[in-house]
Amino acid sequence: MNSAQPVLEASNLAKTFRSGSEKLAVLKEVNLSLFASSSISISGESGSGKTTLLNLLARIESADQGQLSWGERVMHCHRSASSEEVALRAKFLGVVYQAYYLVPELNVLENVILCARLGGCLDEQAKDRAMSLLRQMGVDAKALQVPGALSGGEKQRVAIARALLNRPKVLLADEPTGNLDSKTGEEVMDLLLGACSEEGASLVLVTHNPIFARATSRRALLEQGRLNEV
Amino acid sequence: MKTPWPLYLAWKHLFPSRKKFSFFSLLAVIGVALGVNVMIVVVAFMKGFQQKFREDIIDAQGHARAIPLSRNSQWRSLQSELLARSEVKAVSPYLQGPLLLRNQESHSVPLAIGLDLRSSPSALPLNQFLGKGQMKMKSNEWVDLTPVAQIEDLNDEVVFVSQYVANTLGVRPAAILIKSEHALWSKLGLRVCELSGEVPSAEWRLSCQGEDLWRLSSGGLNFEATIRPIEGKLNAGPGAPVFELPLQDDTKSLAGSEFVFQTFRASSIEIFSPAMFDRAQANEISPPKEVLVGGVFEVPWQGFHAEAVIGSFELLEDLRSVSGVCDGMFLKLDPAISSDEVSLHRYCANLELQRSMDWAFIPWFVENAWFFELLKFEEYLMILIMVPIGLVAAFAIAIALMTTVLRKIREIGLLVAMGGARLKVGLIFCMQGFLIGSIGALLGCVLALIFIRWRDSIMSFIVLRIAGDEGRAGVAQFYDFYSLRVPYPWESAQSASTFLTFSLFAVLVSTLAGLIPAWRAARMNPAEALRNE
Repeated sequence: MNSAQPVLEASNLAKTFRSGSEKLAVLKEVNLSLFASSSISISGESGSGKTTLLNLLARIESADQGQLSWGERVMHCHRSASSEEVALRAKFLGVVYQAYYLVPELNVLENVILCARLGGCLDEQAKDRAMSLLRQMGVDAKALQVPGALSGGEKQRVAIARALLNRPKVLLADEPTGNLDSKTGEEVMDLLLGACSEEGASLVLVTHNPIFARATSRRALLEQGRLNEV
Repeated sequence: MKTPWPLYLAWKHLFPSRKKFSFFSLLAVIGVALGVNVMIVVVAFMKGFQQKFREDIIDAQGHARAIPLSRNSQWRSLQSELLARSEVKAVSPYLQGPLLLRNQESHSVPLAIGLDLRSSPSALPLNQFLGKGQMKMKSNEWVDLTPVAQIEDLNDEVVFVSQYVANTLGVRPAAILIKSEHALWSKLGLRVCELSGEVPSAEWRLSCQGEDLWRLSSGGLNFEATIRPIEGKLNAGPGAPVFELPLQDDTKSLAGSEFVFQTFRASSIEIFSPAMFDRAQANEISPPKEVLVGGVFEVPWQGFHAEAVIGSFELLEDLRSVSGVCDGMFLKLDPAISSDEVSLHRYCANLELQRSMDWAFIPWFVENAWFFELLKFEEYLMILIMVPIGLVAAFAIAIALMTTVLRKIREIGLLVAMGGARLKVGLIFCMQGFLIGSIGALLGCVLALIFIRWRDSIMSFIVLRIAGDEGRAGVAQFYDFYSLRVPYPWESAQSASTFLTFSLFAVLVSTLAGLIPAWRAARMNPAEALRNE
């Protein structure tokens, strides 16, 4: 891939939701270019469409209009994700959510390597890498514990390790510190930014916290359906 | 080989890490296992009953019956002809017809069957039915030692009656009870081996005089005899009970011991035949035939005549005033032919053709087809009742899995967000149904094997607590439960097929039960799923 080529590019993305007979245009002509190993934070009021934008970028939702590219690959973003796009998503993108979403029936290590299972690349190397990421996140001692036995901060560290397992090009993080206290939040954010930098993954960070927002290389504000860099 | 991730997650949902199993999976697996167990056990036992009836019918009627289509059929030549065939193992002619039996004021009109005593033991093992009908006298102090009658005891003056006839007429065969030293008697292994029907009702004393010398006496009969054992038996002559000594030489220790017995004469019954009535119409008065009851039989097959009397062929000839005729012949055939119904049917058809159609050869299963159709119908009815129960279990599984889907909405969204295809996410829940069905079916098969292995103990335990000792006796007598032969799947293809059919049914139904939750999960919008609170 050309280094001048963005790893993630969206142009004129729009999304409207219907509520009965009313139409609510959440996103209008959103443009975003993200280059390798860079990071961008997206802030905005609640309901401004930040999570919807991440869903469009991850092809979890389809857009009403606009274009989306993952590296050189142009996505059919007006339709539901094809099986090919779903398979690509497992390797191209990593996702981290505010609520962690760890599978309660799996232990920590199994949760991390679940990503490799879904991507069809589970092998001994993946397991070693999972342990290495858990070590990096400081939760390797809890590898055989179930999520129920972890604190919020530990859960989020496991979720970050899981998101990074398949060496994604882009990491989408939706308010990853939203459920954590400020001290734990800072620790997690440091680990997230450090890991992205070390892994060479670009980061799209949705956050309300201006301090965390300033830690990314670029900052943007989503208001009235448009993304404006600040 | 890598486990497909939907199967892996399905397994983990049912059997999570750091826990042996989830409560839901435990209940679901037990439910399926019990269902499979019940279905297999019921059908296996139904087949056991069928097998039991099949054996009883063959024992009571032979593999086939030859029935003359004309009165002039020469049965003796046919009997010789059939016995010359290597496939025919035994041929026994019989006469049958109604007789009027009377004992004082009680009457019975049973079907009388006259058997040829020379050939019938090899064709029909009737002794086992006499064993089942053995009548024991109840006494608080005395113990009944009456030996079971044998078909060889039958003669022109002795008949066997069915349990029903015995009860109707209030008759019983001869009996002997021991009045003293019973504990010593049974400890030494002494037994009464023969008891003629003509034995008079009296008290007897048997005493050991010394080595190989015994004395049998009866004060009431003015009878006294000193006897020595011959071939281990003490036989004081006609009319006296015959005793059998133990094999070991223990007579020295018996010297001086005395045993007291009480015998009861066999009931006698009067028999009137249709021929007697014919003669009476012609003003020829003939007295009724008086015979003794030699034994009581009970055929545990409901299709056999409950009201029946068995006598010798000659007795029936005499009562019917006929000779040289028979009403049919029981045939016992080589297992190579008799074990397969198609071969047996073909063999009988060939015999008919070769005999220019003057005899009909009817296989046992054709003659009793109605009965087996009835049993088959019962089996299907059982399955028809049990299948909805299985479906109810499937609905329960479906509801539980649907609840799981609703509980795991956000996890479903996450799996899709992490690159899981929606169809495969749905497959997780279908796989859960499959796993529950498979494990439940396996466990159900194990339970069924345990039930079959220890069926008598389990059944006794249950019946005893529900209906007490009488209930247990009823189960033994009416259903003949404890003699049922229920084969294991490795012993019979039919049993293996029963196990396999119900296991597959459970797996299929459980998997189908997972389809609706799977479909629901697969069509879930991942973005909405992730937004779900």
